[in-house]
Amino acid sequence: MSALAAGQSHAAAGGRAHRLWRLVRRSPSAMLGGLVVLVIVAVAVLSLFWTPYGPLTVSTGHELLGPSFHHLLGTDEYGRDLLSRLMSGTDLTLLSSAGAVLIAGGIGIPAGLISASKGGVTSEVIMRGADLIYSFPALLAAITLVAVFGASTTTATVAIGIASIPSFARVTRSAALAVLATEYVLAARAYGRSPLAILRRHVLPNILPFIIVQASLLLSVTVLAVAALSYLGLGTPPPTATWGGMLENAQNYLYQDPLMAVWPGLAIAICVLGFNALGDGLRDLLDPTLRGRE
Amino acid sequence: MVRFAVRRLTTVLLTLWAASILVFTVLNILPGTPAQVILGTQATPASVRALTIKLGLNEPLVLQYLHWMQGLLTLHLGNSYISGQPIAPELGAALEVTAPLVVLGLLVGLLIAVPAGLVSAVHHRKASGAALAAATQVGIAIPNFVLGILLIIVVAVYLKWLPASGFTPWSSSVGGALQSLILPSVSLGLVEGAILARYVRTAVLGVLRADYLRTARAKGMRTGQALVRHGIRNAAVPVVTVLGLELSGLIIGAVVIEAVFTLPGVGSLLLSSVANRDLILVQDIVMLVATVVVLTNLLVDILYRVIDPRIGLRS
Amino acid sequence: MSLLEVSQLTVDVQGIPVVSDVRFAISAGERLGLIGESGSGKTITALAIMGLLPEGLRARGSVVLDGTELLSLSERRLSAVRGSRIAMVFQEPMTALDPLMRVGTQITDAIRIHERVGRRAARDRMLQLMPRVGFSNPREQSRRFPHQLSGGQRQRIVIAIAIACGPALILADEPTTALDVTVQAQVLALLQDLVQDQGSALLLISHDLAVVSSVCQRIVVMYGGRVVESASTPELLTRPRHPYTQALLHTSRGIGGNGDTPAGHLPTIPGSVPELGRFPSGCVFRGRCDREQDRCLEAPPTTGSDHLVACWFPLTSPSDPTAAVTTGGVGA
Repeated sequence: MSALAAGQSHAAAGGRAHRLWRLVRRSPSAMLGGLVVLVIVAVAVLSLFWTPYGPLTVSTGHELLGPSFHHLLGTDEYGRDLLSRLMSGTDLTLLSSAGAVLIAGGIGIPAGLISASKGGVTSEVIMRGADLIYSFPALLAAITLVAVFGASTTTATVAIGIASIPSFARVTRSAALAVLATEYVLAARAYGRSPLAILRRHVLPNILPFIIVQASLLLSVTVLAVAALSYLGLGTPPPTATWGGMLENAQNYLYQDPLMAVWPGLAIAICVLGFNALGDGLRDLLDPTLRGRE
Repeated sequence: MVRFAVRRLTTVLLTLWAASILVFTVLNILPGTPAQVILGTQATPASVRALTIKLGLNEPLVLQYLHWMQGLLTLHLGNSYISGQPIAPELGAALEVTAPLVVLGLLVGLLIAVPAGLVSAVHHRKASGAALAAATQVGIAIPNFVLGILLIIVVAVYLKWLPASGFTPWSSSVGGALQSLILPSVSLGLVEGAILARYVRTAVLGVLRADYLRTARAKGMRTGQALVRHGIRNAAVPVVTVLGLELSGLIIGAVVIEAVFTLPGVGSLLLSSVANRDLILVQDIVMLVATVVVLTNLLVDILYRVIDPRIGLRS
Repeated sequence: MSLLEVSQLTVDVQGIPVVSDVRFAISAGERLGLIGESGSGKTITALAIMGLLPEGLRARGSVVLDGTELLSLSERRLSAVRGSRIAMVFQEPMTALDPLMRVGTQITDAIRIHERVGRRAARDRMLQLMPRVGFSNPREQSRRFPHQLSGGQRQRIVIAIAIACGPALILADEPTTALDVTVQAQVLALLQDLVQDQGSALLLISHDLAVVSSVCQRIVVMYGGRVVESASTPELLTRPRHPYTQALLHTSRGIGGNGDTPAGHLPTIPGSVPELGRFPSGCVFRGRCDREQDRCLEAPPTTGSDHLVACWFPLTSPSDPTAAVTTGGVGA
């Protein structure tokens, strides 16, 4: 590719980002969600370098403390700082959820594209496969895989990812079918462009918005599933700090220190709300038929 | 009608058959482990081999699969690897907890979703409607197990109105059993209700703008009458579709909620069998849940063809 | 005395008037046409009379039916009038009926809302009503769902609903526009026969001058949310006084093929209809009118008694003595 073309595509990407920003500004839901997501990502990055205390540092004599100046959110039954554990749980949650979405997209998007462009038996097989996976809710699939491979971050991530493939495949397929039916794709076919080139040059750029929306909505689902799995003791094993694990642990001390359960619960809820609001807002912006209906 | 039923039923059976192969394959990827797990790491290779033979795990996988299928179809679910007890009665007892929990959860969800969705649609230009819509948005973001714990903190720890966990069996007290299901079904239903409420709202908004509602008012019906006469059925079409998805959400949500409230239901059974590596039990339960999910979707499909004559039973 | 008297009717959307100071009257059994391009406020006027304006629109002024002011009636009292004294036929037969309900039931409902009759009696009435709107096999056809009927059949169901309680006035808003050309004339003829049979008055709303002039005894011309001219049908067709009416006549004649424009060239009114609420101040036809002068910056008063016109410089002489819209054009 020549330098000129590279420069052009760079400018186009810049223009697209600018357009996206102009759109986002119009939706309070997308703004709010985007802001929450940014803060969460910032916390996750920060926790890689700095937390007030070590998330695993046990401190005898400081067990089950309430919020104070030294421990803003208090401590757990080993005297570990709750804020530090909450912070360090953030990046694990994000990595695991994002990993699951990547797996789902990595398989679901090509599957949806192939199903849309090939049609016939191939399409039927792919969509029936999606239906099959769909009859196993994400959490059930994850529990099954954990039964075989044992509880770990990887198992949880892969299991949730696989269970989320159908939703990606369906969205991709229906969006791609719509693009493939347009006249400019017909024109591209007419002058002999290869199916692969059509997919790359026409279909992918046009369905990208739908994929972004789906990814954002799916992230809210995977965050929830990751937290649920670690709450059930089927995710990342202790002592590593996870939101679900902290919640499960705090449940043993509800009568002594109920706030201990509130923090991780709040963290999960805010994270889910953020991705959900972002995805919802983006969808409303992208779908003109929905605009003004809310 | 008959052709539609036959076609749908064939699809359902094929899906379930494929699901059973999938479940069986996944759970038997690592051959021979169950006996090792059951006997512990100190077991001699000889005793492991003996148990493997006793459990029938030395047979070819295809035979094992056929055995399992035969058991499923005749409802002889076999014996637990760990306890040696037959699985069917144990699963039956667990269902006595889980089935009412899911039904009550659905009820709570509908009791919240229908009024909230209706009011927020009818009043969508007023503050009350907007506030309700915002509340459902927040409700969606709170996972049911988080809500369950919050409810325990408020209702059980502070107010001391209800027990924090545990289950009174139906046989000892129906009232007690219902009481121990209150908090779990509310935690389960509230979130699903919030999700459903948004669909109800969209559906009702669509109906409110429909021309046939105006026709009904031109006939002399008042808005409320017209909504009852024409709105409910029309709004039900999209809502019923979503309801199927919500039901599978409720079923899987019940697994987590049972853990929160330590209820001896199917979810708890599943989790303990996972912890014990009682793979035959895991296999049975996963298949049971998948079957319920698939059948629920079939039911919804039929239901909404009954409501909407445009789709019809022939196609 | 008039059956319906509309005066100073104004409808606002967020402070912008979309219908301004509309006035006309209909006497019992009379057929009045309301004509104008889309966006002229015809439909809004009809909905305001019915009290069925969409959310956010408010009507002011006066709509008196049989001596009762409708605009100040409570929703409860108004709903007792709707369907029994005054009924409406809508433009879109495809969406006007509930898709999930059998058409017979939708007609029966209209009867049972207003009359204390049993289920069976109402059903019998419905079965008598259906042949009157052209269904030869009412028992079977009343059990159909709307999607099983054609557009023309659906519109005849809507008409059956409208006439079910023998209303004194029927508002028909572009009742044939959405239909196939071949059934338009049928449905129109049916509507005309029914109102004549029942002695109901008819307010026929259309953008099609040929349709209105073939059915109605008097015509009200609307433009930009205002009444610009109203007169008896022959008077309006032969001696239009408002430049807009004249322009409308020209375009109709062009379509008829016997006009003064060269073949293959359709006459049009110069300019286009502004967006709703964006009409110029003063005379609303300003900017598209060839008789415009400085005075038109001010809103013209409505003058005349039988033949009303709102124009500073109305056409005085008959514009074209041979002019006549082919009234039989609809029957083709």
